[in-house]
Amino acid sequence: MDNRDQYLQMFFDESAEYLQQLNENVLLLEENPEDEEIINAVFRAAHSVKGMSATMGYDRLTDLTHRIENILAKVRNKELLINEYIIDTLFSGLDYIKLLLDDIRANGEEVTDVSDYLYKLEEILENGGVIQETEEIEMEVETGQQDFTGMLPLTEEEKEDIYNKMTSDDKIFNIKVMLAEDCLLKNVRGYMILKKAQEMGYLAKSNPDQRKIEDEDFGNAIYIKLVSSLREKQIKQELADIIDVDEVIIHTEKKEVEVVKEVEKEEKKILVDNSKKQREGLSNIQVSPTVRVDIKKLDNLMNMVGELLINKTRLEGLNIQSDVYQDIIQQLDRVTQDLHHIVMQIRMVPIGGIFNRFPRMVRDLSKELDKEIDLIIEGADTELDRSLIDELGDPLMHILRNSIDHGIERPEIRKQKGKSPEGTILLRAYQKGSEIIIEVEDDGAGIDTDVIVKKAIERGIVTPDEARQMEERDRLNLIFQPGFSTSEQVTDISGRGVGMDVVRSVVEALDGQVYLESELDVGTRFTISLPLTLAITQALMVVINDEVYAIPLGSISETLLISPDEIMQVRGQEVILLRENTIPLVEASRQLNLPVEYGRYRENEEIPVVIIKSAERQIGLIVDELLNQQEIVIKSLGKYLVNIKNISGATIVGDGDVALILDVRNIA
Amino acid sequence: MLLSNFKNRKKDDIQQEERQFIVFTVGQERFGVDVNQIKQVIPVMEATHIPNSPSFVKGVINLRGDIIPIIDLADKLSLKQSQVDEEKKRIIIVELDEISNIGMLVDTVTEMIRIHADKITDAPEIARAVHTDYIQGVAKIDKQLLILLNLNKVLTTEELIELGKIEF
Repeated sequence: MDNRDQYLQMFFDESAEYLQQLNENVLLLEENPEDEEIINAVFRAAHSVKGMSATMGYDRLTDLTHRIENILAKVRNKELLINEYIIDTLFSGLDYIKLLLDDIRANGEEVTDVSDYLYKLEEILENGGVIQETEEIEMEVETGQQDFTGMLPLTEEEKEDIYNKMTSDDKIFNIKVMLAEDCLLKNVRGYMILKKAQEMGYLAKSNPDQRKIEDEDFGNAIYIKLVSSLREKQIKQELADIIDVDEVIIHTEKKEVEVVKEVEKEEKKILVDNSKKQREGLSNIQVSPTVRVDIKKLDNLMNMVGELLINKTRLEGLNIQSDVYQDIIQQLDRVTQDLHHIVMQIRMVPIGGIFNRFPRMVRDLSKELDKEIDLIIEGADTELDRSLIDELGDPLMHILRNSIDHGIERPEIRKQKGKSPEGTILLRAYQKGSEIIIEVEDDGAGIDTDVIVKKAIERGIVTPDEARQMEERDRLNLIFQPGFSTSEQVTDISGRGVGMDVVRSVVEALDGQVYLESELDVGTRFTISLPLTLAITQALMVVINDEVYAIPLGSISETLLISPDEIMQVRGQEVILLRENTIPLVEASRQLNLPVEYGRYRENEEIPVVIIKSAERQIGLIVDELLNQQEIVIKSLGKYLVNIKNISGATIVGDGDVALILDVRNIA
Repeated sequence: MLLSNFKNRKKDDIQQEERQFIVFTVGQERFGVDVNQIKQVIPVMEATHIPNSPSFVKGVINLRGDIIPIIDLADKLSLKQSQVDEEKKRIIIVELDEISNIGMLVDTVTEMIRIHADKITDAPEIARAVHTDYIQGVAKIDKQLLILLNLNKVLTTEELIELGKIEF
């Protein structure tokens, strides 16, 4: 049972991977219906899913993928032309695969009925196939006069490949081998023919290809393009000697000397390209030597590194006056830092993992809404912590849905506004300092704050009076309030009752922030900023009311020591001037509601102030004392103390005490 | 297969008949708690105060790298504060689920006893000082009443939500 569970997990993991590949590649196929590389990639992925499903004994999945594979095989052999209908059918097939996988995950067996869909596939296979087959026969008749090179169409790459492999002695032979009508083991004979051809030279292409031959999916003729230095007669003889071969017809192509020369000139470059191509051709999965590791184990490892770090800090605290001690501390420091770095690296995964699902979604939604949308993805290779990736999918999905539904206008409206009918959504990720920034930008209608405010008043989120006093930024941010949906009619796409408030709460739970910028008729941009890692960060340690607190460096712009007479009053608010910026002051103990007398700092000669920065604002936080800067391991306060405002977690300091981590986002 | 089933059943039977409890005091009261709920008992440690948390949250401590919230049982159960020196108090670490532990601050931990199931009765009204949700039952031992607590339920769901909502 255990073993099966393990296999099942692998099956789920891998099939999810293949499904993702399928989605991506079918999307690519829609854009490049002729590209054999892509067709092959789709074929391989479908084939892999089929193989795995068959092994695990899931008949419907096997059947489904088998038929999808058949369609792709026809496409590959140019018997079926890619059209929108086929692409749509393929996509719904992928959805069915997902449904079946979900079934298995939930119930252990396949529940979804796919028979209707299988019928649809069969129809494509038959109708699509029949039309093409007649063409094929015609072609055969036409090419009956021994010119059958048309049966072996070459792509530019294959041509290059051939010229690349040719030496001056080589010739290109187009060979037609006819098997006897009563030939029994056709696949074996076909295989022998291909094998023989390979022995005699470079087998550039065959129709049917090796897979089809193995599946015995061909008529009696096998066409071969062979590059060889042997003479025509010899080749003919060798092939004719194979059992059940009735007839061998050979055409020798004239060598294109010019091309060969040109190729030789660029030989090096092509060789490199070629080997790359071959690598990619072998498998679409990035084959690097990797292992799958349970994320829990990585979490454990991370915890251990955290422990090590805490103890290192404690050791440093001893501050013994000894060279050996100093030496050890330095070594230890280096090793723990490297270790930390490596563990972080291990946990990092490219954000492409979630970005990749969006093209399909955008395609489907824009079709559904009759909109034309070009989704541009940038920075899919940006890496961030695995735990963040898992959480980010839904919020991003929601923002994108929002952009598609509310942002991008219909083509006719866009034309009226003088925009191109096709809207653009830019999904971009990049690293900025110790933060990862993810942006979703559209060139759509923008957000009308008057509409927002009206809605917010209707829903009782703000009163008209409050709204009047709000800054533009705050009005815009009303959409992040719980229970807000601006869509006039609740659509299936973004008006599901859950709204932007969910986006914000998820992002904030990840210790990140989400900003919104919008300009009417120009577009909207959502920006999510996240810490590179959740577990360990640099922090400034400060003292507030005799307790040590940690403030993550990411939110600090600088620290100051000010004298009381630098403090000024502006409309009842204490401020300081810093490089001509007026910065409001906030007393930390008051902000934390600590039971002490406020305002005592005015008696001090020097007042320590930490300048906290957020997206648009700066604020000066008055603390009692500034300590050191150090690396801290972020720990949660546990299930029972979540969401305590202004406290985001705790860390263990050198002496083993607990220091709370200030969450300064709401202060600034 | 059958044998192990049998063994398990037998063990269950025994457990039903006799259970082990740790006895502790808070203020004037003696309480018992099932040993299966307790991870360990530690001497009191200085907790880091959490701003603006309810008064019964003493703060958090570092227990071998884990951050653990400490609940003052006397405060939580609205019992009279004890005369016991703060340094002599104990913290009972309760395992709430696989990932989270919580510490209960008590006055003293006196003993560990076995109590036969016969001697445990449902909570009577006499335990009115304490909200009955977390009272598992009452045991009569040597003519003294021992209130058996289910520490998992000392923090009610509502309170946990409240705790989650602390704002200022």
